[in-house]
Amino acid sequence: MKGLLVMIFVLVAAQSQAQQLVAIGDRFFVASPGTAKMISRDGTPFWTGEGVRSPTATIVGASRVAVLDALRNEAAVFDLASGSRTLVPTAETPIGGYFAGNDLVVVARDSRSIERIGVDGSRTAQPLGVDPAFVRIAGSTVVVYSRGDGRLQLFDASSLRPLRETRVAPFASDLEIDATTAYLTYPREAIVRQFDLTSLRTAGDLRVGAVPVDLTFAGGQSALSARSLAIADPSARRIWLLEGRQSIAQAFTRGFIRGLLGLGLTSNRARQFPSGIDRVFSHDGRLIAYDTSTGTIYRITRKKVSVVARAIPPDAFTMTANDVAWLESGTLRME
Amino acid sequence: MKRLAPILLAAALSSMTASAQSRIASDFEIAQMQRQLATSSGFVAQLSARLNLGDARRARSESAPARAEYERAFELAERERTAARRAGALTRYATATSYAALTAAKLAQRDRAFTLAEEAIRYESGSAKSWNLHESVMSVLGFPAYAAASASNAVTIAAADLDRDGSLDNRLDLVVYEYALAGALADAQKRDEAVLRLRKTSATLDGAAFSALRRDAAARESFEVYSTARGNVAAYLSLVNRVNLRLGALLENAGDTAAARQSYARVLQSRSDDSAALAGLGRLSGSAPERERYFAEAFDANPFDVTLVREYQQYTAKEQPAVVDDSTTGGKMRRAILELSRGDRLAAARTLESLRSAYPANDTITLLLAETARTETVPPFLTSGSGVQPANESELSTLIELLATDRLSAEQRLALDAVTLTSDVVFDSDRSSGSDTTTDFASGQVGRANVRFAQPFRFTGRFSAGVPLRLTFRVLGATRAGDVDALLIEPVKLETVR
Repeated sequence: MKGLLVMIFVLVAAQSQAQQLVAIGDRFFVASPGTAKMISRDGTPFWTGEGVRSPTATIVGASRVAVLDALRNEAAVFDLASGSRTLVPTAETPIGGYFAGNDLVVVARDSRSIERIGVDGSRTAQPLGVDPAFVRIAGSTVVVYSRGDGRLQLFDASSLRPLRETRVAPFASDLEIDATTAYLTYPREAIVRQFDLTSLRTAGDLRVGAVPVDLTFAGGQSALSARSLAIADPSARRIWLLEGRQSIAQAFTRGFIRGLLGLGLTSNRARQFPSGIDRVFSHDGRLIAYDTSTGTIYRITRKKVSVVARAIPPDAFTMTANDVAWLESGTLRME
Repeated sequence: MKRLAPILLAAALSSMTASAQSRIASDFEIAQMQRQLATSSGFVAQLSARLNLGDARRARSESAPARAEYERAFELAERERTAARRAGALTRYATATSYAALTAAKLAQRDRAFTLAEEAIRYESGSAKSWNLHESVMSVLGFPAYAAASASNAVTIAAADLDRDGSLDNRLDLVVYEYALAGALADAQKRDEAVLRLRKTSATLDGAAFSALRRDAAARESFEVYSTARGNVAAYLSLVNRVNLRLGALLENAGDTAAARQSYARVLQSRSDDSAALAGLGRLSGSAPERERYFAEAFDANPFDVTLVREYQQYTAKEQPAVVDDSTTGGKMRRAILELSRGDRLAAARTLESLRSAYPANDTITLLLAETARTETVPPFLTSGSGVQPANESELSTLIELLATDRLSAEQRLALDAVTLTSDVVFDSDRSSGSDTTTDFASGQVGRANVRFAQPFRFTGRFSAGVPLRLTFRVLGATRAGDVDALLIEPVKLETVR
């Protein structure tokens, strides 16, 4: 649908410095406490504006970007080209969302709602489950998972009309979706669960490692063409990789771990991740992993694991078409 | 190893043995925690000791030692996080991260505390304890609505846990979370719901389900109250204390004097020297001798509680006891306050200096000594109150002190009601406005004088926090902003400073 969401970034800040860095084309959006700016690759600012006091998440649309402050229940929305800014109040504890055209859609955790905030100030909202934690877009459908009661809800991404919903197991740590399937990681049970988005029926569980906490589609241009599903397991200090889309389905059908390929990727995988990794990200077939406890960014290939940077707050780095970029003492670096 | 019961937020940590002549209540808890530090090496034991020590020090207005304890607690938690990650122990990592969040909150590191709390929840969103810690962090940071939501999650999960397993541990945990939820609701101004929940919680604690704990507590003659309780008996006693104190305060504010007295009396049943309960009974007393007796006992329990000091200052502004027994530390504090209220600053300073030699790090003593040194110049707007008059930092600071200690004369009050003041205020950016044509502010400073509105006020126009703005206002009274006195004001106009 034209004008609907282009990208969602839902990044919940996890370390001491409240900074957000997002790549938008060949530029970078940087949100720091109180300020926001758009800069070039060499750090030249295109525009600077007043941000929010505690940036906790960033949402990118086709022509606007929003930075959320989950502590103060507000969002600063900027025009990408001009930097003109609007400050909007949100419901309690905004944790993520997307743009539907120019309208901002925000999931508010403690209000248990998803709300569309129009440019004209009009608002439409729908109720969500207990502790809604993840919001993802699949085409013209938005999928929201509530950790507290396991509600998996689907809405029309533009109108927020409820489409269907079901109850799955609560307390998942991540949700990712492709065109047809939702994947949920359950750290305590060491399981990844798969659900068909049309029927909302389970499509199989897979035991994965020790404590799977985060997953991403890897190795393809998009989730549709993804060749792999990468799963971060900080306890086993590995990235589990399911290769081939058909293999993902087969692996789930078989329901056991030997279907996994590329276990840990190298023979010395535990040494490579001395304190484990708990987040994985992908972009155009490239994979990076992140250890929140030390702020270490790793680049992953089939042949090796290398450290890109250390002591970087989790929202202060991003992937571009060719690089990994991060903020180090306020300076943009790339590799 | 003792189970670390869920963390209880200490609104005010009260203290100890009534028979002690020169010891105050929290001396015992402090000694116990120092013993725990010296003899127990585990993370939980060390952390709970540091947190309790920090809270005890803060309740005694010893802010620098309190901060030092919290910083040590934070280092402990960070080391445990790292060790847990290296060991691949994610539950342990999540727990350590939660405690790191709590200590960061106590150190007023807002963003760090929030992000650590969120990180912990990633791994343990199904754990009531994790949500309880999340609630504690949000409460300490001053986000009551947020805290209430987290507490609600903890209650929901704990209730389900209790349904599956009706053990004493789960039963006690649920009561802790119910208490935390009630506290958060009260802080979020949902008082009726908070009172209902606290009444229910108090009845549950007095019920049959906890009779074994009551017997155990009586057999051990346990009485210590901790903010981070270890073991079921300690948790139970701390809960009874906290629940009934909070309930008493809410009922007192609502004007239900009889019910409030009952709640405070219930606290004293298990802890005869709880200073907050004694002070409550003092406020609600019908006679001066009884009021003085309760104040005396409250001061003996915790001589350095600033709230108690201010209450006693207001009391002595109207009624002055003939005799003050100053053989205890609490008695000496009361004598100093009485001397100050009589205008005998030299005598008050001598009394306070003698206390300072025993308690050199005590902020309350320092605060009162500063009041003895202040040569009071009555602000001019209190003698010629009319029209619009400027008010500077010094004049507003004096006004705050006069209001907080209830020392304005009737004529001065009339003048204050008639006058409108202007000052250059630097506002805190606690909450921005909902649009680009208005700005919300709630509190700020005129130099070091704190000012605040009764609730956030929306001004027409876009203004920035952190820069001086010319505010025209009327004074409503004195209030508290966290641990300090502040002026409660009503805004009339806000302009940029030219």
